[in-house]
Amino acid sequence: MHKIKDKLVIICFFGFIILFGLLNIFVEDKKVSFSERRLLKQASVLSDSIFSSGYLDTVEDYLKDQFVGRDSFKKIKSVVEIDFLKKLEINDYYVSNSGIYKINYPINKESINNFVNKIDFLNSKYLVNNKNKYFVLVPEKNNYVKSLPLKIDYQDVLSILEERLNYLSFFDIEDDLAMDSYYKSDIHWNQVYLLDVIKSINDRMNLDSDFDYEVKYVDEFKGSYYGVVGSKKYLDKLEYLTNDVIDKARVVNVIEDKVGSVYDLSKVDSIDMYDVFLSGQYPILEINNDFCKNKKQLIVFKDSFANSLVPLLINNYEKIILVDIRYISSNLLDNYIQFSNQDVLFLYSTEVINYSYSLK
Amino acid sequence: MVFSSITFLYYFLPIVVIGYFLVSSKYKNLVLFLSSIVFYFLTEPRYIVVLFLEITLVYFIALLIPRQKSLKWKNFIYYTTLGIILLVLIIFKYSNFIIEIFNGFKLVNLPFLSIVMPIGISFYTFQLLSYLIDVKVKEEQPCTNYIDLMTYIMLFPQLIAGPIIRYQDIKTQLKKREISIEKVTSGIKKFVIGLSKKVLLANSVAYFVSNFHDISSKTFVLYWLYAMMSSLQIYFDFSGYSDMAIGISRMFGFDFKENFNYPYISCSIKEFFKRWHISLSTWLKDYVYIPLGGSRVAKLKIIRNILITWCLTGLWHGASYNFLLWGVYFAILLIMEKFVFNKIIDKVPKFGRYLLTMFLVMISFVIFNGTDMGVLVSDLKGLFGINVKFIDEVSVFYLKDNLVLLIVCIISMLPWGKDIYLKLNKTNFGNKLMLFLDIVLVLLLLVINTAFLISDNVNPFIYFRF
Repeated sequence: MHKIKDKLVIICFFGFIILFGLLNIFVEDKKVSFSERRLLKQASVLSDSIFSSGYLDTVEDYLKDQFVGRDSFKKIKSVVEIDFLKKLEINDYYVSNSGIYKINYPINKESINNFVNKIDFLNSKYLVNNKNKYFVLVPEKNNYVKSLPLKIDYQDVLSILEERLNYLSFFDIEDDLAMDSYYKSDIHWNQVYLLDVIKSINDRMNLDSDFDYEVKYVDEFKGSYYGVVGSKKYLDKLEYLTNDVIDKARVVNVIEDKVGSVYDLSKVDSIDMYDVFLSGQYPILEINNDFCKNKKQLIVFKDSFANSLVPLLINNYEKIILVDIRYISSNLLDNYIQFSNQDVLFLYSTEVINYSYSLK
Repeated sequence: MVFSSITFLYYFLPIVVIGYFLVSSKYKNLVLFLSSIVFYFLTEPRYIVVLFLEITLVYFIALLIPRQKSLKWKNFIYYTTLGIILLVLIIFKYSNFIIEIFNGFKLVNLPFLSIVMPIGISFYTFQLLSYLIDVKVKEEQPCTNYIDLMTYIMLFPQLIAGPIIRYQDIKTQLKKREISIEKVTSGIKKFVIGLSKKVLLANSVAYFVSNFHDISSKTFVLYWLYAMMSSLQIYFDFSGYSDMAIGISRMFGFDFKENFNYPYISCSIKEFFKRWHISLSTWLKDYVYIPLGGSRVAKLKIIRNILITWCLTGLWHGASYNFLLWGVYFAILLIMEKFVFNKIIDKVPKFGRYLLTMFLVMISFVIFNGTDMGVLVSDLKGLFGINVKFIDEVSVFYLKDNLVLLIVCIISMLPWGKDIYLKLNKTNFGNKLMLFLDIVLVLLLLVINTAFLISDNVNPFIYFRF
């Protein structure tokens, strides 16, 4: 009897590893992991030099990415960590019933310094003559999680910036948002819950807020954190707000010289579904409102949070120019933009400010 | 290549096992030798020549020594070879530390060497040294078969992180060893347990340990959580690796001695090192401490012997001040245990002795992790509550986050599981239950380990750097 058991242990162990080893070889490689929102390593990496010391790591990364049933195995890991070990933090993510949160902690004062210097540079080089200059500091969603102490205090960052960038008017939008204003499985806010923020901004900038929007449903939304746990309880709805002005607005990609629309539904199948808003992240975009003839223009220096918010400002402007200096050097902006007395809005999240070295 | 990788588990291991069992007994060592070359080449392609040259040198010198009639000549080739083997270790492992010491005196400003240490050099150097010393000093028979000696040193399960095997313990097994279904099964179980210690426990604990110094708000409680987690990480990491090495070797018919025997149940430092990294402790005892005179000399000489042995133990673990300090720390504790507290300690209740031992061991692993002296000083201050709060909400968060993991680790470091398993196996019911449980547990752990391996970013082996 024991001999049979011993044989069965051997058969099960080697059967399992040989079966999966072979399946990994013969099952066709996947290009994209939609649950993790990223491209997977391909077999081409195996042709690197075997003499290089990192070769084995490359092979290991490829095998991990292309392991048969990868998503199911990842779910097993989540079950063990969350349901059995009751872990709260998994690989820099805080996982709770309300959502998944990337831990961005503690405050990096050097990075904030770097950010302030960058804004000072933009102001002195391009914006000396602009009168209306505003700053919206976007709270990260961790700010609203009481059970998470590892978060950056919104008011702390706001007061540092207010003190250092005293030529800008700051908007405190902390009370206009709540935990539900953000996607459960993504860093970003959900546009449908931004009307209070828009009203605050419009009021402070003396703009009209009296516009109606229609909510349109696109698909289920899996954010960039979805793959951390892979559970359906973190699915959201991808919806957007629109009206005639937004529907007909033309979005010009200045660098690539392409014209598109505010909401790009072809991006629903892309790695990052949030790219539905303004087709994703680009150095310079213009949103043109042909219905508005007030000659008013707005320049927005921004990160990705602006992509879903700025379309809701277009009703008041003839043109909005969005500049993302994570993708273009600050020195080159006057090659593409004519700076005059436009309204200026800086819109940055605490996360980008705390890791500001990506700003060029 | 680490054992806890998809590459090893799903490709290297099954291919070698199939090759090994397909060939006749005559060629089994050759299969192990060739697979060990591939294993080391894939892990460390640059230094395989160094390893080859060292083994070849020791092979020929060991054959030459017994044939020499002139003692002078015998000693000359013996000490020269020992010197060469040690010099290779010193160049690769200690040259930058030596430069750092010289530069510390501010008399010179030598540039640091751009040198990468061959993986496993500390382990295979000790195996080569013990082999050569045994041939010369104990007049043991040298190995006449080049492939056998190569297989002994290069045997991939123990090549890069031990356990440190002596040639005398393995020489008969190299010629003839029992290969059976029971041994293969037992090897599989040992391997899976080791894999789980490493992947499920050590790696999970490592996440907190590696991020600890980035936490801005540290308290007394958090420092002690760090000390506990560091101690657990090092134990599960290294004993997991040893279990895997012993398990794989057992699949091939080898019987290696245990390298860890539940060290965290020890009630004294002396007992701790009888249970911790046994192959290194016994190596240093047999080749350093006893040749120096051991404990059979005057008190001052015993103290000297302990200090020398433990400084070497510390430096074996790494070329930096914290490892030296770690060794000196244990030398002082062992001297105190032997000469100062030897009469009092027996009067302390066992649980008190246990708590004291764990307290001292946990502090030692904070020193072990403290490669930056400034950070180490602040860690030690934190452990004694100097200039830190007792607890705050960040500490509570990390306590909650790690509580179940900590409980699982503590249960796993105790021999309870093994005791229950053995007791159950002796009963009729348990025996029948085990028929089913063994298979389910092996498969279940394999699936969970795979799930963690696929997703984990943190997977270093601490002892690889030695």
